[in-house]
Amino acid sequence: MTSIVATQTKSSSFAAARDTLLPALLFFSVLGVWEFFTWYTDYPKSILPRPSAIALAIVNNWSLLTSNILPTASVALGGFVIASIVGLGLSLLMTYSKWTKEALYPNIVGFQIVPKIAWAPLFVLWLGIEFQSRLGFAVFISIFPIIISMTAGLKNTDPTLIRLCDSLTASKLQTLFLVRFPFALPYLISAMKMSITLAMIGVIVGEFITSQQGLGFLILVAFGKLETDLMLASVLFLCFVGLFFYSLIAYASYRLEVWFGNK
Amino acid sequence: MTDQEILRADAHVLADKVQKIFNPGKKQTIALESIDCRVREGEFVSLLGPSGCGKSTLLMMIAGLETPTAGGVFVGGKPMSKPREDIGLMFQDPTLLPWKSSLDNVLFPIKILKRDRDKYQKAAIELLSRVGLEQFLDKKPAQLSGGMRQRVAICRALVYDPEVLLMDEPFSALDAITRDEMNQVLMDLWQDFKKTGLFVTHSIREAVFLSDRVLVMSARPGRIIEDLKVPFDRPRDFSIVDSAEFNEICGYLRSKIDSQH
Repeated sequence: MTSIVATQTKSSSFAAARDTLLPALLFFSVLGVWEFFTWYTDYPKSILPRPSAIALAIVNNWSLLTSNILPTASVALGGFVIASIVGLGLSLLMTYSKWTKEALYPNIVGFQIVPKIAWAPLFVLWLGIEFQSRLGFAVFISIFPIIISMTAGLKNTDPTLIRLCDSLTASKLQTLFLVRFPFALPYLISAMKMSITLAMIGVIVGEFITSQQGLGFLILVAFGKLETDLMLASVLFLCFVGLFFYSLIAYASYRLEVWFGNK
Repeated sequence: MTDQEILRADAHVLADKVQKIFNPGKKQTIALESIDCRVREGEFVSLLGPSGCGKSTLLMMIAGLETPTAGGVFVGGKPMSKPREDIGLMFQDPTLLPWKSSLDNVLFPIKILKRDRDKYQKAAIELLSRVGLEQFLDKKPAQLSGGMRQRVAICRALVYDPEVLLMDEPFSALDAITRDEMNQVLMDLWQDFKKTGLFVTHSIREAVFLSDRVLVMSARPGRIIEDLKVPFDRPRDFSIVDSAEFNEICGYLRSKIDSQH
C-alpha cells in the first residue's frame, strides 16, 4: 500500500516539474548543439557566433547594452499606454454612438489589413527624427488590436443582462462599469498583451530607420561592424524587455480583474 | 371617477387594448392585437400560449422595456413608459454575473438602486437560505447547477421588494424534475412574499399549479381567448398535479390551445 502511494506522489510531482523541466531541457540542448557545432566546424564568428561568445559580448558591453534599454523601453511603454487609452476611448465611443461606429469601424477593420510597417518612413517624415516619430509609430501599430478586441468585447455582453440592468433602472454608466466592462475585460487583457509586443516592434523599426540610441539602433551599429555577437546580445536584451512588459501586463490585468471582482 | 379610472383602480397591472406591431409598414408583423389583461393586487396570473404568440412581448411592455403601438399599460394606476423599481423581472436565463458570488448576485439590484447594502445583506442571506442555498452564498454561478442558478435569480428579483414580479418562462430551460422542484419553491415563496405576479409559460401544468388565474393566448397575432380561474386553495402541494380535477383543468386548457390550429 505505502509503496503505491509513494509512487503516485512521485509521479505527480514529476508531472509538475515536467512543465518547467522539459522546455528548459530543450532550450539548453539547442544551445549545446549550437555551441558544439560552431566549435567543431570552426564556423565564422561573424555569421554565427557561439552562445559562449554572446555571453562574453554581454559581459564586455554591459554598460553599452544597459544604457540603451531605457530609450527603447520607455518609448514602447509610452506608445502602448497611449494606444490603450485612445483605443479604449474609441471603442467606448463606438459602443455608445451608432453613428460613430457605422462611420469608423469598417475603416478601422479595413485599415487593419494594410501592412502597417510600410508607414514607418512616413512617420519620420511627419514627426521628425527624434523620439516623437517612434512614439507615434508605436501608437499607430499597437492601437488596432485594442480597438477591435475591446469593441468586440463590449458588444459581447449578454443582452439579457443589459435588459436586466434596464429593468432595474440602471444608468448607462452603471451598466458600463458593473456589467459591460467586466465582461469585456478578458478581451482587453489579451489585446493588451498583443499590443505591447506590437509597440516594441514599432519602436525597433523606428530605430532602424533613424535613431542615435536604443537597442534597435545598437543592432544596426553592430551590424555595420559585423559584430554579430553584439547583435545577438542586443536581441537577447530586447527579449528580456519584452518579457518584462508582458509580465507587467499579466500582473496589471490580474489587479484589474480583482478590482472588478472577476477573480 | 371616470370609467377608465375605476378600471385602473381595480387592477394592479392593467393592459388596456394593447397592440404591438413590429416594423410598421409593408413588412409589418402584428405581434399583439388589442389585448386586455388585468391582474389584481396579490394575484398570480399566468399567460399561457404557444411560442411566438407575443406573450413575452406583452410582459416586456408591462416591464416598461417595450412601448405598445397602441393602447396603454398601467401598473399601480400609473402608465408605464420606462422601467420602474416597483417591478421585478425574471428571465428564462438566470442572467447572473459570472464573476460574482450568489450573495453578490442577489445584492446586485441593491447596488444598482444605490440602496444601503448592509440593510439588505441580511434579507439576501435569508432569501438564499429560504430556497436552500445557505451553503452556497459565496459560490460563483459556474459552481451551481441550473436549478440553483434560477433560485439565485428568484432571490435577486425579490430582494429589493418590488410589488409586481414579472416572470418570462423562468423555468423553461430546466429539466423536468428540477422544473417541478422550482414550481414548489416559487409556490412556497409566494406564500411569504405576497406579490402581484404575472408568469409567462407554455407549460399548461405549470400554469395551473402556480396560478390563481390562467389566461390563454392565441397564436400570432396574440389575443386572449380564455380566462380561467383555478379553484385550488393555497398553499398548494405539488401532489395536486395527480388529482383528477387538476388534470381535467389541464385537459380543458389543452383543448382551448388546440382549437387554434
